[in-house]
Amino acid sequence: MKNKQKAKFSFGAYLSFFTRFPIPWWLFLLSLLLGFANTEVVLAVSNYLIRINKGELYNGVIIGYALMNVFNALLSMLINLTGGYGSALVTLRARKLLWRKILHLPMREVERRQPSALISGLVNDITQASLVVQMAFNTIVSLYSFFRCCWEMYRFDGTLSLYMLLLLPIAVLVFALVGHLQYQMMLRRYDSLNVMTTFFSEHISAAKHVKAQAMEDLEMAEGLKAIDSRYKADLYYAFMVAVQTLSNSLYNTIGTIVIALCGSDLIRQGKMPETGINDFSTYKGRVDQYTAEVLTHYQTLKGTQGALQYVGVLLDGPEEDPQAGNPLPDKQTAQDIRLERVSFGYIPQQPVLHDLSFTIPHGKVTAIIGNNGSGKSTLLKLLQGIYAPDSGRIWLGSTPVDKSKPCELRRQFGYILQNNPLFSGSVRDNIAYGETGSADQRRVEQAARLADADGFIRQLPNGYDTDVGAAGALLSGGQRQRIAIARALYIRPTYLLMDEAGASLDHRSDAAIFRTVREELKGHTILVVAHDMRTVMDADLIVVLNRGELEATGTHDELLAASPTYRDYLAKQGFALPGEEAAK
Amino acid sequence: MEQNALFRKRYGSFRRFFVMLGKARLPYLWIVGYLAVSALIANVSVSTTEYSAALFAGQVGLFAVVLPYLFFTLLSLVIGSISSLTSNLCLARIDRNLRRMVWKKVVHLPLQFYEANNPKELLSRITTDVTSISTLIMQVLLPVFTTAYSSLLMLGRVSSYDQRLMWALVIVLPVNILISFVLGRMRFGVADLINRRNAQLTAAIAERANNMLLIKSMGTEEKEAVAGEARMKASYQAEVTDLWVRGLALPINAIASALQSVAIILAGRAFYSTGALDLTQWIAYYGFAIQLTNILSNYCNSWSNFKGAQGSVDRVSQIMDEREEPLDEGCAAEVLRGNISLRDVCFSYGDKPLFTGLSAEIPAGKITAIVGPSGSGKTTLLNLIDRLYPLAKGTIAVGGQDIAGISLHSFRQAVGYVTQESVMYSGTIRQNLLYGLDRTPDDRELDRVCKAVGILDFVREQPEGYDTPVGEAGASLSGGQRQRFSVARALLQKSDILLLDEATAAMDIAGKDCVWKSIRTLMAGKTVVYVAHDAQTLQNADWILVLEHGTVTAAGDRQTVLQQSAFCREMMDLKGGASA
Repeated sequence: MKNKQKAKFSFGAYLSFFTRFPIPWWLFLLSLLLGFANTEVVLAVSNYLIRINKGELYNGVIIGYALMNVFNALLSMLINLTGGYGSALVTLRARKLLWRKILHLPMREVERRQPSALISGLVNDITQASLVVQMAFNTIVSLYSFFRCCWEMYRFDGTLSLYMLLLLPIAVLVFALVGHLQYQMMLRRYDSLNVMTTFFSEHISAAKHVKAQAMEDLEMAEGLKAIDSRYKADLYYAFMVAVQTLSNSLYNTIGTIVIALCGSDLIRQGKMPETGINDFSTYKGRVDQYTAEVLTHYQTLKGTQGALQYVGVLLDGPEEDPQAGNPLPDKQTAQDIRLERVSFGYIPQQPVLHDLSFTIPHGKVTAIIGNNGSGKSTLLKLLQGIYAPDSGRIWLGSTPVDKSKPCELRRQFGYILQNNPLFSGSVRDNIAYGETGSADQRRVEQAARLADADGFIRQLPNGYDTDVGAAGALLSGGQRQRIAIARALYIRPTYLLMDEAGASLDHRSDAAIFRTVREELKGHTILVVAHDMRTVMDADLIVVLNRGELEATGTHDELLAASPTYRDYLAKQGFALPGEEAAK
Repeated sequence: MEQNALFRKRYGSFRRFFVMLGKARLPYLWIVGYLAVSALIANVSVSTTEYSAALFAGQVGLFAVVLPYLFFTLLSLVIGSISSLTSNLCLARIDRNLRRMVWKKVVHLPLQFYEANNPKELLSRITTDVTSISTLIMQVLLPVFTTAYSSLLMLGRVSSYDQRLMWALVIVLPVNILISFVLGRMRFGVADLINRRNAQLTAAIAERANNMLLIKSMGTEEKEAVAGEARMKASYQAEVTDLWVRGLALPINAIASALQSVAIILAGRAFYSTGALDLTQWIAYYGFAIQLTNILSNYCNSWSNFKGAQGSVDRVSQIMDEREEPLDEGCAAEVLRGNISLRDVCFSYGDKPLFTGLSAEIPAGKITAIVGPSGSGKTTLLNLIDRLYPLAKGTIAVGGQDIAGISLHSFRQAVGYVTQESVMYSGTIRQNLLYGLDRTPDDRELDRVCKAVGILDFVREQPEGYDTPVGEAGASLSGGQRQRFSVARALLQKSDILLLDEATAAMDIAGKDCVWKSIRTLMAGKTVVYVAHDAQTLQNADWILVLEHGTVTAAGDRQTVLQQSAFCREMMDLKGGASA
C-alpha cells in the first residue's frame, strides 16, 4: 500500500501531518468569520469611492468613506492577529515535535539525511507547514469575496460582466505561465547563487594556501568567472521578470480595453448610466484583486508540498527510544565486553568489520591498532549501540547491547575523539554537559584537573564562566580537547573510549593526561585507539585490526611473535625488534 | 557642537560611499536609460489618469477619449516592461561590478587581514553586502529623482486646474508620509528582533544537528529537547510581537490616511462646488492625490527599510581602504640555494610578542625538523620564511641574499608550502593537483607522484580516475587522503625550498612512512623544513631545531639535539630502545 503510493504525491500523507499535534482551529475559524464580514466592509468602501468619483461630495459620503476605511483596517488587523497567532502556534508545536524526532533519529539516519537538511527542515520547512492552514482558510475567504464581488458587478451590468467572465480563462492561463516562469527563474537564481557562494566560501578560507603558492592571479580570474556566472543568471532573471510583468499587465490591459470599448458603447446606446465605467471599473478592480488572491494562495499551498513531504517522511522514519530496553546492572561494576561474530558495513556490499570475535577484559587497558579505514572508530560506535551490527552480537557481561536501554548504556561510556565539538556556552556548561540536573562545581573542577585543564581555565577572564564561543572558537585546539576530556570524565564512565584523543595535543600534555587518567580510573575499562606505539605497548591487551578483520590479539610480547602488522608498526616508529636482532 | 560632529560623521560616511561608487565603475549609461524610461512612464501615467477620469465622468467619445485612453494604456504596458527590464539589468550590472571590485581587492590583501576577519563574514561582503548596496542605489538613491519628477509632474497638472488646489495638496501630503515613515522604522526594529531570534535558533540547531554523535553518546537527548524548545518559544514570542506591531500599524495608518482623504476631498470640494473644477478634473485631481500619497509613502518605506544598508556600505568601503600586498615589487627570484638564515627576527601578534631577536640557521639541501610545545611559534616560523607576514625587525636570507629584496610573487612561487589545513577545492582530483601549476604534467607524471605518496591505488579504484570529483572542499575524501594529495601537489611544483606544517598528521603509521621516504628521494638536494608532531615523523630529520617560547633552545643533528634538549628526549623516548 505504502510502496505503491510512494512515488506519487499522496494527499493523505499531506494531511496526516496536521493530525500529529493540536491545531488552534478556533483562531482560524474566527479569522474566517472576520474575513466574511470584511468583504462587506470592502464593498461598502468601494460604493463610497464610486460616489466620490461621481462628485457626490456630501458630508455623509465623506464621513462614511473615512469610517469604512478605518473599520476595514480594524477588521484586517483582527484577521491578521487571529490567523497569525494560529500560524505561530502551529509553527511552535510542529517544531517541538520535529525537534524531538530529530534528536531520537538513529545515528545512521542522521548521517544519511545530512545535518544541513535537518536544520532547514526545522527552521524553514516547518514554517511552510504552518502556512498551509492559514492559506487554506484565506483561500476560502478569498473565494467567497471573489464571488461576492462578481455578483455585485453582475448586478450593476450583466452584459459587460459576461464579457469579463470570458476573460477568466486568460487570467488562469497567464497565472499558470507566470507561476511556471517564476519557478524556473528561482531555481536558476538559487543554483547560481549556490555556485558563487560555494566558490567564495572555499576560496576565502583557503587564503593561506593561495598566498603561500602566490596564486593570486589565478584566484582572481576564477573569482571573476564565478561572479560572471551569477551575473548571467541575473540577466536571465531580468528578462524573465520583464516577461512576467508584461503578461501580468497584459491581462489587466485586456480587461481595461474591453471595459473602455464595450462600456463606452453601452453608454452611447444609453444602456448604462453616464458614469457607469466608474462603477464597473471599481467592481472589476475588486474582482481582479480577489482573483489574484485566490491564485496566490493556491500557488503558496502548492509550494509547501515539497517541504511538508520532507517533514512527513522524517516524522514517519525510524526512531530510537532512549528509554526502551532492559535496564543495565549497577554502573560501577565493569563487565567484560564480548564481541560475537560481529559484522558491519555502511554500504551492504562493503563490510567495514567482518566476523569479529574477541573479548575486552574489564578493568584493563585495551589498545586497538590498524591502518586508516580498518574499522577502529566504527567498532567504538558499535560498542555504545550507536550503530547496530548487521550480524553477530555484542555483550556487556551477560546483557546484550542491542537489548539494553540506549540512554543508560551510553552514559556508562566516556567517549573522546580526536576532534571533539564544544557547544557555545560557558566552560562549566561544557564540562558538565552530561549532567541532567544542575552542574556540580566540585565535580567539574575535579574532572578539569584530571584533564589538565583546571590551570588554564582559571587563567581565562571569567574562569569557569568564560564563554567558549561558537563551537569553542575562542579557545585553542589543545584547550578545546582538554575540556572535551574533562566532559567525558565528568560523567564518571565505567568504560572510557579514547579514539586518538591525544593526537591534537603536544606529546607532553598527551602523556600527562593519559597517565593521570590511568591512575584515577584504576579498575575501569579503558579502550584506546592510538597511532603512537609507546601508548600501545603499555596496554594490557592489544587488538590488531586489518581491513576490518581481526589479525591478532594479545600482549606486546605475544604480538611480536603473532602479528606482522604490529612488528611493522614498531619498526616504522624506530623501535628495535628483538626477533630481528636475534636474526642478525 | 555635538550636532556638528554628528553631521560630519554622516557626511564622512556619505563621502566614503560615493568614493567607493567611483571605484566601482557603475553602468552609467544604463542608469541614464533607466531614468529616461522612468520619466516617460511618469508622463504616460499622468495622461492615463486624465483620460480615465474623463471616462469615469461619462465622456465616451471614441476618438476624443476612448482611443487615446487605450493608446496610453497600451503604451504604459510596453514601457512598464521595459522599465522593469532596465531596472533589473542595472541591478545585475551594479552587483557584478561591485563584486569584481571587492574580489580584486580581497585577493590582494595580506594574510593578517584574513586572520583578523571571520571567513564567513568576508564571504557575506561579496554575496549579501554587495546586493544590499546595489538595491540601495536602485531603490533609494535613484528614486530620489524619479519620485521627485513624477510628483512635480502631477502637482503641475493639478496646478493647471487651479493653483490654490495644488498648494492645498502640498500642505496635506506630509501627514501620511510622516506616519508611514514612523511605522516603517518600528517594523524595521521588530523585523530585526525576529531575524536575531531566528538566527539564534538556527545557530543552536545547526550546532546540534552537526554533532548528533556527541548527543547520542552522552545520552542527553532529553536535555537538548528541553533547551531547543525554550529557543523555539523565544522565536515564537518575537513573531507574536511582530504580529502586534504590524497589526496595530494597520488602524493607525488607516485613521491617518482617512483623515488625509477627508482633507483632500474637502479641499477639492471647495473648488468643485463653486464650479472651478468640472467632474473630470475633480476625478483626475482625486486620482493624482491618491497616487502622490502612494509614491511618497512608498519612498519613505524603502528609505527606512534600507537603513540597514548603511552597515553594508561601511563594511565594503572599509575593505576598499585596506592596504594591498605589493606582490611585484623587487627583483625576480633566482634559484634559491644555500642556507636559510634568520637574523634577529622580531615578530608579534598584535601586542603579544612572539619572537624577540630570533636567530637560526637552516642548512641547505637537508631535511630540517622544527619541534616544540604548542604555542612556541613553529607555524609562525614557516609563515615568516614564506613571507606571509612582514617582519617587525631582522632579516631572513637564503644563500646570503636578503629575501626582502625579492618580489613576493616570484619568491612565494619558488617556495612550496603544505599548510596544516590541507586545502582542496571542489572539482576533480586532476584539477586539484594541477591548480596553480605553471605547466601541465601528463598522466605518467601524475601516476609517479601519486604513487610516491601512496594514493595511486585509491585513484585507480575510482571509476573516473583523475577526473573523479572530490566534493565541496574535498569533503568526499578522508583527512589522510586530502593530506596525501596536498603533498603530491607540492611535489609536482618542484620547488627549491619545501615547507611542510604537520603535513602527515592525519596519516596512519604506514602512510607516514611511505610519504617521508618519497620526500627524501624526490626532494634530494633541496631544502625541506617541516614541523614535526610526533616521534615517527621526527625520525626523518637530518637536522633539528627546537623552538620553545619563541626562542631556539637547541639546534643541530639528531645526536646533538637529543643531548641538548630535554623536550626532544621526551618526544623521542622510545621505551623499547630507539634504533637511532
